Amino acid sequence: MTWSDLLLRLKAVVFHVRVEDELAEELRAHMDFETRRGVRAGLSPSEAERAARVAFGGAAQVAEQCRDERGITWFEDFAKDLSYACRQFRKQKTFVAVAALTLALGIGATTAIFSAVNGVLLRPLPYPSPERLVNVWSSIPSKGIPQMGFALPDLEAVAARNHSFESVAGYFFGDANIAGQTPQRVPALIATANMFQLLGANAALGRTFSASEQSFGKHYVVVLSDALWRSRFGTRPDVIGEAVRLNGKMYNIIGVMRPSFQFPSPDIQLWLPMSFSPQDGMATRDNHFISAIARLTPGASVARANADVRAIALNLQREFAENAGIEGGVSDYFTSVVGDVRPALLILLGAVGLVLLIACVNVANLFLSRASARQREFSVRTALGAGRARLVRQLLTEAALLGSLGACLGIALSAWLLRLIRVYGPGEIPRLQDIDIDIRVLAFTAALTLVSVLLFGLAPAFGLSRIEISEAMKAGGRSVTTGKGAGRYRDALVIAEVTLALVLVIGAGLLLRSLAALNHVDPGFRPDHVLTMSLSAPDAAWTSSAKIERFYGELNQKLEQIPGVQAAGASTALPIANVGGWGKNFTVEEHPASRSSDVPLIQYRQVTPHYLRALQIPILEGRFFTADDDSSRPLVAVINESARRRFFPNEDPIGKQVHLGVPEVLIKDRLPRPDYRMPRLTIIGVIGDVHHAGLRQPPFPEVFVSHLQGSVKDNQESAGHMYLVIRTDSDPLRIMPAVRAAIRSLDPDVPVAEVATMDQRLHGSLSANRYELFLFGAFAGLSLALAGIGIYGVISYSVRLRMHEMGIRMALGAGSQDVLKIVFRHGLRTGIAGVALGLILAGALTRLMSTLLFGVKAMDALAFAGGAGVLLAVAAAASFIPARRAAQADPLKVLRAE
Amino acid sequence: MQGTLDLLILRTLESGPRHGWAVSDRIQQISQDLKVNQGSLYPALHRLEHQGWIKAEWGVSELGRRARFYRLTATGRKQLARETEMWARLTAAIGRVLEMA
Repeated sequence: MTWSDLLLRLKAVVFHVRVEDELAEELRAHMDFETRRGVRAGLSPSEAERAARVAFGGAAQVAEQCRDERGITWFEDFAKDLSYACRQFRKQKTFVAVAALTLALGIGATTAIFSAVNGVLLRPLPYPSPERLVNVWSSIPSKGIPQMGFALPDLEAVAARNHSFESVAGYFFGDANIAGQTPQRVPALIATANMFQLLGANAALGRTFSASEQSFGKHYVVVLSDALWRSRFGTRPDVIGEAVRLNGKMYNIIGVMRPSFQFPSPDIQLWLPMSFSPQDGMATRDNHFISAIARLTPGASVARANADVRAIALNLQREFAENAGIEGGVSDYFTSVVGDVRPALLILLGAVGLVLLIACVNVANLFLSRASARQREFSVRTALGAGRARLVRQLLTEAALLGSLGACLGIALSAWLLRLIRVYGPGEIPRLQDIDIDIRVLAFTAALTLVSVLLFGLAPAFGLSRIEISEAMKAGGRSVTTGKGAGRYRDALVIAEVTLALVLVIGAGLLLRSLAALNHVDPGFRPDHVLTMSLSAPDAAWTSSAKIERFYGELNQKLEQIPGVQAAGASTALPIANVGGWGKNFTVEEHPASRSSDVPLIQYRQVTPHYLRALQIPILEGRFFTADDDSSRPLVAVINESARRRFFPNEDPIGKQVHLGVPEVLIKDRLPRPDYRMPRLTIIGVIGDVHHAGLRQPPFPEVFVSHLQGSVKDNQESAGHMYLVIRTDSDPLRIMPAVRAAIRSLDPDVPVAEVATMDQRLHGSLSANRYELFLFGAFAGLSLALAGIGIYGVISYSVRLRMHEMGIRMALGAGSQDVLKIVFRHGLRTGIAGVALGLILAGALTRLMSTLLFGVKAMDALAFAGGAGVLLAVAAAASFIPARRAAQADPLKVLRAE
Repeated sequence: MQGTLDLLILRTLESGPRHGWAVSDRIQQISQDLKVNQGSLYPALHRLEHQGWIKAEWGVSELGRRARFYRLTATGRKQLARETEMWARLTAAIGRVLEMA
């Protein structure tokens, strides 16, 4: 088909009437010219006209031939096929309903998952030229730290010395206590002033930071998120210029961002400029806490920028002793946003694709049975001169009509599914609220439908080639015994269904086993009946550690007086929730590291005496803190089991001296005084390991110090921000009002946040796993049902075809048991073939999902055997029903009916 | 012969655009013996148009009647050259066979 051909055909279809008129006009013109010639030659006008008509031949036929050449018939045939298909469908409502719904389920589920993939993985980030955004990070490979934040001087060095970036911005997470009638604690981001500009984001109201606001003293300005502006400031446009008390200091509101601006995560409610007071100890070379994002100069590659940053880090190593072992690098920003969910989403897309494939096979089977039933119709049409191509086109038209119907229903279904995903989806999926059905999703669905239509529409077309006209005609009104070939073709389709369904069932089984394994992981404490929440001291009023210590001490006492409370404690970190991480160098007095880059890291927590009792973490050795372990007593520390294994593999840790820093001999030139020594702590106990970062991550070494000793000189200050853990007799949430009252009675300005029971946190930590299992399980269930229907359909159809044969067998003495066996065996044979293939395919495919698995291998025997068993049971059940029907048939009736 | 008519039409249009009747008139004038069926001319014109070898435009004839004028396209010109050559080869071959036999 050439271009001009296609265009002209299109024109003929679109401007049907005009093209017809033009044709008539053209032929009329010919007649006029011919008539005029006749007149010129001396004929009378009427004679000339007749002569012209004779010379021309049948005008109608000529017009028809022209139409043929123009391809008008092509269009009209299509219209005819379509209306014929509609008539057919109207007569077969059940067939249409079953087929369209099956397709709609497949297309709808696939479209929904693809929208998620599209929204999360494919759609570009909402910043200008997002492909030039990169993460920049520090690392200490020698200590096994692949990525960490920058120290401020290092970040400044990278920003100044690089040849790869337009600009580099730093940020770290913080919390802001908003004072007012109801004090509120919200997640905040503290960022360098150039961050908004780097991202290309403008304020919806007011402005973003100016460069000068990064200098200390001028930094009391805040940019609000759209969400906070709505929830706390009533969407007033005049908030700009208003003052608000944050963490005890007055800040000027200078801007409000758009709802779409959610850097770096949707939970951030306000942005503050990064600035450090000259006395601040945080801005030193050994505090690595600033994340960095940069914009590549146009044309710069991530690889080159990575080499650039690494070279800068290596130079810094030579220049500063504190930078020993510290390297750095650059990675794609987009990957860091979606990297974690990419495998899960792609696996789900693959799984739902299998469901669609099964749906297509099922519809193909339906079409095939229908085509066999229509053999007579087709043979009559063939006998009357219809070409095979014409019949195939008729079938494809019907398939396309059905496909469109399925696609429309499917899109409606996916819109509904998307609402569910948005509402119930696990919170940790980034950009989840962005997912929607856009033009790309619609194009994907259209392509999907086209492929599906070809898949199931061509199946009966292949079957068609097997029709022997004469045979079908000879068979007369009786049903035609389909050839062995067609039967085998249908069996193959069902085997394919069983194969695909088994892969999905095994996948779901593996996820189920993973979740079970996760549920069996001992968290290291008793999570039931524990209430948790975060409290933070308002910075301004609580400057002294003594005041903080007194507050938490009195609060714990008050809480334990509440009826139903067994124990109340507080800690700077909370198990499972993965909050409050605080890494420190760790040196055992008796075997210190010989190089500063070899000093191991440990997780540091400050806790109150009843923390252990509230969580019921076991004491393995020695003792835990008491209220006596205060600043007047020798400094003590407790370590967990992991820390004992790591640092005291062959000795008793009790009584050993440790300190939380680098051995002084390694940093002689940086000590405040030559004889300076960091405070030593004596280990008094070992407690059980607790899973901090969810159940998937193994526990890591931890050291605990008494909150009451937190303020001892040079140790650290006592943490103002802590998590309460309260063990209760009954439902922990019931005591929440009493807890609030106790807090308010001590200080009404302390905001309470993140209230949840430990059970809720544990449950929440597994939400992604449950979600994956739920979706996979739904897909597996759907595919099982479809495969069951497929087997049932094929077996009952073959029973119908073989009724005659069965009747003869029974007349000749075969018992109903024999008939049952014959049919049942057919079904089971199909099932077994599918299962065998499915096991092989699953063996090849489950490897792909190993990132989603926990505590179970991708080739888990139980999941494979269980899946095979389920599929065989379904195959058996689906073939037993038609087998019994065949066995119960009366042979006389069957034979007479023929 | 279908191909023959196509060739004649293309050749006729080589000297400039013409409407359908003028094409048939011209073919008859020049060939003298060849009687082209006027009716079969139009399907052929439409076919050639679909193949992109000729292009149709409405215009006004020398006698003032609105008519559809066909003109040779660049690809049509190439096709004409190809077919002319083939025709020459074919007639030469047939001529040789007739002489030898």
